[in-house]
Amino acid sequence: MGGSSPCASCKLLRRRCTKDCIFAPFFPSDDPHRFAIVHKVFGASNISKMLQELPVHQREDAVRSLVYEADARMRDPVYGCVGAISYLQNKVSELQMQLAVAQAEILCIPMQQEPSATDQQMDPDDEPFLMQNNLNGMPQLMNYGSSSNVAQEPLKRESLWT
Amino acid sequence: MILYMYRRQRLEKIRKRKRKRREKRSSARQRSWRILQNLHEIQLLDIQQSIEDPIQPIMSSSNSNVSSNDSNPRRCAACRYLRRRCAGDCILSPYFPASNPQRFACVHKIFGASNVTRMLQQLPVQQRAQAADAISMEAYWRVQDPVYGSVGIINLLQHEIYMNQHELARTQAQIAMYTAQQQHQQQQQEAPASQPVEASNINPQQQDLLAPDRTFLDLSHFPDSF
Repeated sequence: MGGSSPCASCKLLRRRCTKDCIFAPFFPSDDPHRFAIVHKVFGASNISKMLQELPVHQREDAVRSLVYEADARMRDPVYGCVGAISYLQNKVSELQMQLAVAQAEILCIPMQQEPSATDQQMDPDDEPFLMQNNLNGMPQLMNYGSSSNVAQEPLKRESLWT
Repeated sequence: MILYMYRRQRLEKIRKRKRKRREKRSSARQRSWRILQNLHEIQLLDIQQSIEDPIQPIMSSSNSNVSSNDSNPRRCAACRYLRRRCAGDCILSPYFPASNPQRFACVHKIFGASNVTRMLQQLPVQQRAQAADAISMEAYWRVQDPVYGSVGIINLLQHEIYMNQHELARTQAQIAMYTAQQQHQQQQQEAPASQPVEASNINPQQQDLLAPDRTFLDLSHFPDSF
């Protein structure tokens, strides 16, 4: 603590950077822009509360996702991250339609039973699982003017940033 | 003489006690009067707001409970949550109606009321509704998943897109194989003296179809850190 420089958050907030500063591990002093955008969008106190509620090993991922969301919000003040989600949802819908068309086309092809063709038949296990594996409860963002479509299951997985 | 002095002292004490009681009664009266005045002002505010917003039904004064902050239906969810008077030009009231208090609760928890107000003020009026919806959704996803929030949704969608592409490429390759087989069989039927064809050969073009195409995942306008 004797000669170490304060973290980016304490520099911006103009306060003393203590040893147990919660922001110091995630906002080094060499990248002040990172904390600036997060502070502008979420606020330092809200970030502090969010990080305190999380276990220590998940805080790094949380900070990265917050920085990503804040950056998206700065680039697009209207839609933010939701714009990318809407774009990806449209892509998923398009691909599902194309897949449905391709599968219908396969069914239309007359399957002529030959000994050489039996090795190349579709396995019954290779069912198009994605036709059934839709995101249940995912709000349709094409009409996200309504405020009631907010059903979503919590996602638990390993770190996305590895 | 001594008795006179004694009686005088007792009388003074009695008078002091009476004065104190009178003062207590008067202060209690003043307090109750102030409360009544406040009640009257709040009722006047209710009536004014009901006049300004004729769509909402007017509440009777007997049902109004001043001690409870949730009794005033004229306030938006934001002002009700923040326990403040909802002004006529409240910037949050069109986007956070009183019928959905959880929406503002999530937004307030993640972004904070002042940040949301500032963000909406910086936008033109015609874009504020969409911005408020987007902010509400981001806040909701962050509350549901405190670690990844909406970034987790993006990751899930990208994974699904990749799997869809893979499946589509495989299906298209199979279609190409079947059509190639059919063509070969037709050629054999037309020319029975032709050489036997190996049905297991796959053209290089068909092999390319097996590789999933990721070129359209162009999120270049988002940072590389994701």
